[in-house]
Amino acid sequence: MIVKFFAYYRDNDFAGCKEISMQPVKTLKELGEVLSERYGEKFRNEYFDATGTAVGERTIILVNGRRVEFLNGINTELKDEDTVQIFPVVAGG
Amino acid sequence: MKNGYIGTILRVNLSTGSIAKEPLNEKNANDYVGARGLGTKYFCDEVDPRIDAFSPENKLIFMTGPLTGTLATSSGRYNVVCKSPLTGTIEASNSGGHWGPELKFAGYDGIIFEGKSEKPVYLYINDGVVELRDASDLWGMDVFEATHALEEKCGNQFHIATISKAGEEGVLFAGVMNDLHRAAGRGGVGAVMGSKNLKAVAVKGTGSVFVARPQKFFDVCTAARKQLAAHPVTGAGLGQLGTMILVNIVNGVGGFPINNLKDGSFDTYADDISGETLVAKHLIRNKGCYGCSIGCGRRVEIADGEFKSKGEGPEYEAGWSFGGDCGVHDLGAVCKANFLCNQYGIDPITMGATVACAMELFEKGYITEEEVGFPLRFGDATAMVKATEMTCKGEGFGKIMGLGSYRMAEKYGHPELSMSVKKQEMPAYDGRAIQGIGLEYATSNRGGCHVRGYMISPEVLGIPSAMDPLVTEGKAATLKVFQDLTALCDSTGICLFTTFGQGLPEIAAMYREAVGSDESDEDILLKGERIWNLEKKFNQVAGVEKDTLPPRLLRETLPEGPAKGKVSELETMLKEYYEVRGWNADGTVPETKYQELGM
Ligand code: SF4
Repeated sequence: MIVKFFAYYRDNDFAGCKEISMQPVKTLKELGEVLSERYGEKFRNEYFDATGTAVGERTIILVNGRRVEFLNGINTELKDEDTVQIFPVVAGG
Repeated sequence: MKNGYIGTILRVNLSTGSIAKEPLNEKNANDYVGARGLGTKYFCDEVDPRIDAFSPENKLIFMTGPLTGTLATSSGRYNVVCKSPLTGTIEASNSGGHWGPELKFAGYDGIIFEGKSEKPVYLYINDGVVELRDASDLWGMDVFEATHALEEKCGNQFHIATISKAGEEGVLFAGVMNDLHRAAGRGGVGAVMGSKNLKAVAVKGTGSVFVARPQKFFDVCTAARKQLAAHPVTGAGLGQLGTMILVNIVNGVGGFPINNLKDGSFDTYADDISGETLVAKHLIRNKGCYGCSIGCGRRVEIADGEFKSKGEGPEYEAGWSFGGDCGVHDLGAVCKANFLCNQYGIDPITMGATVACAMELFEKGYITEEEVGFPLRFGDATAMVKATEMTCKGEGFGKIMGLGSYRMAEKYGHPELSMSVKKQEMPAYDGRAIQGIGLEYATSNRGGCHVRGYMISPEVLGIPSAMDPLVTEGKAATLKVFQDLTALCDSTGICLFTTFGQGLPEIAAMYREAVGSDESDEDILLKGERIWNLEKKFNQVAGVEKDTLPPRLLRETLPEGPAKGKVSELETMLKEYYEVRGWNADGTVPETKYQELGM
C-alpha cells in the first residue's frame, strides 16, 4: 500500500517525506493509528477530528483518487494495492 | 459621497480628446453594486452588443466597487469591461494590486473610454488634473518598460495600468497589466485598449474613501478579517503555499487535464510542477495586493539552467496550462513562460492552452514543422517556451497563435481540437472528472472560465462542504448560487479568494455598512443574480453561441484515473440549470425574468 503526503504533511514535524510504502492495514482509521504512532501527536490531531472517529476538519484524504467522504469515511476499507493521499485543506484557483 | 463610492465618473472620448467628469449614476450603483456589475450596466446602456469589438464604438470601462480601497480585506480590485474580441461576449476582467484603490483616492469610481485616438496616448490622472498625453515613445514597449518609463515621466508614486505590444497588435488574449504583475488578464481587454491607441493609465491620488457607517463598518471588517485569519485556507494555506498547491489534489482526483485534455492524470510528474516544489525550490517571498491579509502572490526565481529567470507567479492555472496541458513537467520552463506572459501582458491560460492545441495539431500532422519553424510536440519544454515567446512578440507562427486556439484550429480545419467554450480556453480542471465545473464552463457568461462560479470549491476542496465530483445531482442549484455570489463579490471590489473563508453574510455586512443600506442578505445576493442576467442579456443580443462544451468532453471518455470512462453529463445538468435560473428550456431568458429582477 502506498501513502502519499502533501503540503505541510511533508514537513519534518509530520511525515517528513513525500511517500511511504507500507504493510496493508484494514481501514483508514487503522492507518491513522499506525501513522500517528509513527509521527506523533501533531499528526494525529490533524488526521483525526477531536473525537478520533472521523477525518480531521483540516484534512482531505483520497483513496485511489476518491474523497473518503464518498466512500466510507474513516471506516473505508483498504486493500494492498490502494494508494492513499493525505492533504491539508488547500485552495487556490 | 460618504457611502463607499466617490460619486464621480471620468468620461474620456479618445476620438475628440474631451474629458468630462460626471456624477455617478446612483440608481445603477445601487442596483448593480460596482466594478463588474456597474461597469457592465454602463456598458450595456451605452453600447450595441452587435458591434465589432475592435470598432471605436466599443467602449472600455475601468470600474471600482464600493469596497475598493476601504478597510475591507483584499479590497484592491477593479474590473475592465468591454465587448471581448476573443469571445464576442461581454467581458469584465478583474485585477488586483493597488491601481483600483488609487483611482478612488484620486477622486473617481471609474473611467469610461470612448472612441479611438488618432495617435498613441496615455491618460494622466493626478487627483483633479486629468490629461491625455502623447504615448508615441511608449508604443511598442513591453509592460515592464512602459511601467518604468511612465514612473519616470510621472513620478514613482503613480500606479500604472498598461498594455504591451501584444495589446497594440491585437493579440486576442492580451490583457491590461497594472502595478507590473497584476492582470485584468482574460478576454482580450488589452487588445481593445490597443485598438483605441490607448497605451496606459497612470494614476495618483491623495484623497480617501468614506463609508456610511464608519464604526459599524470597522466592526464588520475586523470580524471578517479575524474569520479569514482563523480559516486554514485564507489564514495560512493560500498565503504559505500559493495557488499552485492545487496541482497535486486536482491531479489526485483525476481532474488535472493533460496534453490538450486528451488525458486526465499526470501520474508521477504532477509533483514536479506542484506548489510544494515551487515553494521548496524557487520561492523568494510572498506578495499581496492592497489591504490583503492573505497575500497569495509569489516572487519566484529560476536560479540557473536553460530557463533562468525571475518574476511573479505562476498561479495554478498557468502552472497547468504551460505544464500539464502541454505535457511539460519542467517547472523552470513553466515559470519562464508565465513570466513572459506578464512581461508582454497576455493571458497565460489561453496562451498555454493554445500552445497545447498547436501541439496536438502538430502531432496529428495538421500543421507542419515548416509552418511552426520547429517541432512542437507534447512534453517539449523548450518548444513550449519558444512558442509562447513568438506569440508574445508577434513573430512567425506566433501571429497565428495570437488568435487563440479556436481560430487557429479552425484555420487548419479542426476547431474540435480547441478546448474552449465560446472561443475562450477552459482552465485547469477537467469537466469529465469534475462534473459541476463542466457546467460552469458551459454557462459562463464570458466563455471558458473558472472564476464565474468556482465549483472546484465544493467538488474538490470541500468548501463550504464536500460534493461528489463524479455526480450531477445538486450541481445546477449550487452553481447558480456560486455564480450570483461571485458576481456580487466581484462587484463590491474585494477578492474572490476571500470566499474560501467567508460567505454571503460577511460580504453583505461589509456592503451594508459601507453604502448605508438595510437590505437583507437575500436582497443583496439578488443584485448578483441581476448582474448575471444582464450579462446574459448582452450575450443573447450579441448572438453568442449556445452553452456547450468541446466535443472531446462530451464524447471522449477519460482514459485513466479515478474518473476513467467518464464524459461530461452536460445535457442533464443544463436542463436543471435553466430551470433553477428560471430561464426557457433553450437557455434564453424570458422577459418576465428581467421584470422579476427589476431590470
Ligand atoms: S488573495 Fe491574492 S489575489 Fe486576492 S487580493 Fe490577496 S494577494 Fe491579491
